[in-house]
Amino acid sequence: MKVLIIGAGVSGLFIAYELLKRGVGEITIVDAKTPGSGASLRNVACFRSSFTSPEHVILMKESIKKWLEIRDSWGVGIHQNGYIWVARKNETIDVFKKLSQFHNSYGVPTRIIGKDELKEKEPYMNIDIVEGALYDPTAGKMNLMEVFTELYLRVKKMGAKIIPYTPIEKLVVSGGRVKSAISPRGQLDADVFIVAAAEGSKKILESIGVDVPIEPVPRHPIVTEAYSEIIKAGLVIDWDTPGSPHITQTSHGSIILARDVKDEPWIPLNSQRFDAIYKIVKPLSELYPALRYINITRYWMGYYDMTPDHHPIYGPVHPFENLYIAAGFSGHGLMMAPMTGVVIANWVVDGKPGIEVAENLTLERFKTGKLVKELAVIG
Amino acid sequence: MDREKVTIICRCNDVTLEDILKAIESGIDDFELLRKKLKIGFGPCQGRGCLVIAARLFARKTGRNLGEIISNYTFRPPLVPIPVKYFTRGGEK
Amino acid sequence: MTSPIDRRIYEHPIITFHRGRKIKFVFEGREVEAYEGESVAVALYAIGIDVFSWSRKLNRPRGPFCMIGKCSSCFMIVNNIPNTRTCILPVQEGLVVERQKGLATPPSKPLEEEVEEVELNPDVLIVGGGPSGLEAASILASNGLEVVVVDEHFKPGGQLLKQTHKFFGNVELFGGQRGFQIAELYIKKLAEYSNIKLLTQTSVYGVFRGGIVAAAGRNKHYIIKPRAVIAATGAQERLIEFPNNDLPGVMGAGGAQTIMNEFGVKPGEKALVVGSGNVGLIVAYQLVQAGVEVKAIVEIMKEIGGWFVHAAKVRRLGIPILTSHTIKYVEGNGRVEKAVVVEVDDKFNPISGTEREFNVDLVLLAVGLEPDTRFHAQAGAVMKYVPELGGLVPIRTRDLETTVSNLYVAGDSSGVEEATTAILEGRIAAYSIISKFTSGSRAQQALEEMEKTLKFLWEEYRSSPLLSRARRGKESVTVSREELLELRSKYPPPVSFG
Repeated sequence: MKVLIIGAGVSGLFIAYELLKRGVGEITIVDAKTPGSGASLRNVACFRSSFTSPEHVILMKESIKKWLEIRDSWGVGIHQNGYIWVARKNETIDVFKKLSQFHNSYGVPTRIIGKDELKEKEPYMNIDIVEGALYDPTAGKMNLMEVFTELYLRVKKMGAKIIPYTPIEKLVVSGGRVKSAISPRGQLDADVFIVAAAEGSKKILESIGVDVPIEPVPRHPIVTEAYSEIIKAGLVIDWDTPGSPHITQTSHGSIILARDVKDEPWIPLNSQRFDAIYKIVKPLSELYPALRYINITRYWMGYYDMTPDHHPIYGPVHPFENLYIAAGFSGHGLMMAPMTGVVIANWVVDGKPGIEVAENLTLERFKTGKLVKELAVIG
Repeated sequence: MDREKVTIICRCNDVTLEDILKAIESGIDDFELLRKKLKIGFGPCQGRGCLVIAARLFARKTGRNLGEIISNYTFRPPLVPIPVKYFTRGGEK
Repeated sequence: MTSPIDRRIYEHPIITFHRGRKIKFVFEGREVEAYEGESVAVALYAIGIDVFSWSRKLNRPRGPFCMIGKCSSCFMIVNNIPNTRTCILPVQEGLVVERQKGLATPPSKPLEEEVEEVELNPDVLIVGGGPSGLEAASILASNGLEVVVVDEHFKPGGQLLKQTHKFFGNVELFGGQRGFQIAELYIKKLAEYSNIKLLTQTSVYGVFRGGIVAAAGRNKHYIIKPRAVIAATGAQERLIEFPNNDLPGVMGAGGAQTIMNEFGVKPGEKALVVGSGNVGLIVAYQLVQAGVEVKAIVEIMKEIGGWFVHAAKVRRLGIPILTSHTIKYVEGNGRVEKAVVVEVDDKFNPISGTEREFNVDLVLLAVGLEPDTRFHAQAGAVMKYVPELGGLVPIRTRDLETTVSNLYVAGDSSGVEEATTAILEGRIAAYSIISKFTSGSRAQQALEEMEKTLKFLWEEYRSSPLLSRARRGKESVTVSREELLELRSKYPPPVSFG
C-alpha cells in the first residue's frame, strides 16, 4: 500500500511512525516547507489530560501513556512535572473543585492545593496574590526539539521518504477515490492520502469540494534568556486573568511566557504586536516577580489551527474512500500526536480508529451539528 | 587535542564543531532542524556570532546553497535582549 | 588586596584619553578603582581580569569578545542581577560585581529604577549614528524635518570612532581628517539643530504591527511612530572557527579597537592579527601605537587585502605579513598563550609541516565584515544574500528605499563598502525623503541634490577598481521602482511607514 502523508509536522510524522510499525510499506511524507516548520516547533511543548470533554480526556490519557513509553525507549526529555492553574480569586477555587470532580471521574487525579503547598511547589511565585490552585500531577512538558528531531530521524530510518519544499496545490479524484496530489514539482500518486497540514488542509481539501472549518489563530509567545530553574512545574496558568497567561521553563533554562491575546485569524507570523508584550508580561511578572530582571530574547508567533468546537478533526473524508484528515488540533496537536498516529493508522489499516471517542471527531460532525464542547483551550 | 571538540561554533550554548558534524551524520539534513536540535543561535546573541559559521559548515557538508540557507532564517524582535521590566508598566493602548 | 596590574595607556602618539573622575566599585569582594566613562568590563580588564565568565555547558573560560553588548561572554552578576552585559554597563559608584558560572537566578527584589516611557512621532527615524546616519540627520534637519537618531553606543560615530588614520579625498568629504575627528565634527553639527533628537546608549529593538518602532535606552522605553526610517545599522565582524577559538584573548579587531582607542586600555602584550584587509592592517599599527608587539599578520589569500598605503605603514613598523597563511589553532590556560599558523595551498588546504608558532596573548580576527541587516529583515524587507557585499542585504531602489514603504537602507548595512560611500548613501536617502515630505522648491532642490549625489557616487566614486566588487554587489540588488513595487506585492511586508 502506497501512502502519501501531506504535512511533515508532528502529526504527520507520528502517523507515519504508527503505519510503519504496522508494516505498511511505502510511506511518503511531503511538506510545503521543511519538517516541523509549522506549529510543531512553535508551541510551549506541554501536555495534560485534564480537559473537560470525554474526547480530550480519553485520548490524552492514552497519549500521555505513549509519551512516557517514548521517554523510556527513546531516552528523550519528557517530564511529568505537572500543570498548576492558579486562582487569584476565592470563587475560582469552587470552579476548580467542580473541574477536579469531572477529571477524577475519568481517572485524571487533579486536586486542589492550598497556598502552603503551592509555595513549596513554586518557591518563586508571589503567593500573596493567589488563593490556591488546581494541580494536575500527570501533566508535564517535554524537550521539544529533542523529541521532534528524534521522531524525524526514526521515521526516516524506518523507511519513510520525507520530501520538503513540496506544497500540494490540489488533489485529483476519480471514481470516488483520490488519485493524485499535484504540486509545482510534479504529481504524486498513492493508494491512500492523509492530510495532516494544519490550516493548509483547508485549501487542499477545498480543491475537491470539501469544506474544512479550520481557522489559524495567531499566538504570541515570548522567550527569555536562560536562567537557573525558576518555574518548577511543567506549565503554570493564571486562570483568573482573561486570556489565561501561562508560563513554562525549558530544560535549557529559557522561560516561555504566553497568553491568548485576541487577534485576527490568518494574520502572517511576522506581524508581531507591540502591545502583546505588555499584555503577556504584566500578569506573569505579578505572579513571578523575578521575571522583571530577566531578558526577553525572542518573540515569535505561531498558530492554533482552531475548529469551531476546539477539537481535532480525525478520520475519513467522505465520500472519498482513501482520504483521511488529521488537523484542527486547536493548540493541542503536539500533545495528542502519539494518539493521532494510532487512530489514523488504525483507520487506514482496520477501517476504524480503535478508540470509540475518536469516532466523534470526524469531519462529518460539522455537517450533522454534533460539535464537542471544551472549556480550557490553552496549554 | 581533539580539534573538533574544542572548536566552539556557538559560544552561548557551547555547540562544538563535533556536535554539528555528528548531528549531520545522524541524518539531520535540514539546517533549521540542526539549529533547533543543537540550539545554535538560541542564546543571548541570537545567532550573531554563530549563524553564518554554522550555515557555512552545513552548506559545505551537505552541498546545499549557503545563500538559500541564510535567506531562510527569520529575524524576530527584540533585536537586542530587553529586560522584562520595560514592559511591567503602562503601554497597553 | 589590590592588584598591581594597570593596563591603561597613559602615553599615546595620537590620542589623548580624557578620563573622568575616579569611581570605586566592588568586584568579588575587592575594591576596584575605575574612571567615569569606562564600562565595567573595561575597568576589570584594565586591572588584569582575563576570565570574565565560564560557559554553561563545558565550563570554558571566556573573556571580553565583541565589546558591544551583542554576545554573552561578559555576562556577570551585577547588584544580584545575572546576565548583565558588563561591556556596555558604565561604571557607577558602589556597584557590586561578581562573575557568573553558567546559569544564575534573578532576584525577586523590587525594581530599583522604574522605566520611563517616551512616545516620539518624528518625520524620520534614523537607526544608527554612524557616518551614514549622521550625514542623513544633518541634511534632513537643515531642511526642516523632525529627526530622531538612535545609536547604541554612548557616543555616536560608529566605525569612525575607531579610526585613527587620515581620510583621503576632497575636503568636502573630510579628506585629511581622522575618523574620530570626523565624528566630533558631526556631533557638533547635529547639536546646532533643535529638531534633531539624539538618543545614545539606546537600541532599536523591533518593528511592530502598525509601524511602531521600539527602542530601549537606560531605563527609558521609546515608542516611535516615524513617517520614514533610515536604517543605517552598519556592519558586524565576521568570525572564523578554529580549535580553542573561544579562549580569552581571541577577539574581533573591533573589540580590541574599542578597548584601546576609545578607552585607552592595552588589549594585550603580544598580538597576532588574522586578516590583511584594511581593518587588519589598520588595527595592526593601532596596536603598535598602543604599545602592543604585533608578531605577524596572517592572510589566507595570496595577496594582501587592504590598501597599499596601510600595508606600507605596517611594513615600515617591521610587522611581517604572511600571505597564504591561516590560523591553525590557539592554546592557553585561561588566556591565549600561543597561536599556531600554517601555510595553505591553492585550494586553501593547510600544508602540513609548514606550521609556525607565535607566543602571543592576543589574537585579533579581522576576517571581514558582514552587513547588520537584522532590522531590515525583521521589518519584512525582501533580502538577498550577496557575497560581494558581505552577506544578507535588502533589495532597494537607486534612492535606497526597500520593499517596506519608506524604510531606507544606507551605509555598510546596504553592503560593506567605505565610510565615504556611507556618507554619500546617507545623503541620497535623506534627499529622497525630503523630496517626498516637502513641496515646492525645497522638494525640487532635494531631488536635484539627490541626482547629483547619485551621479557622483555611481559614475565617479564607484568607478575606482578598489570598489569594483562592492559596486557589482550593489548593482545586483538595486532595482527599478516598478520592480520594487512588484516585489512589494509579491512579498507583502507586515508594516509600512509614511
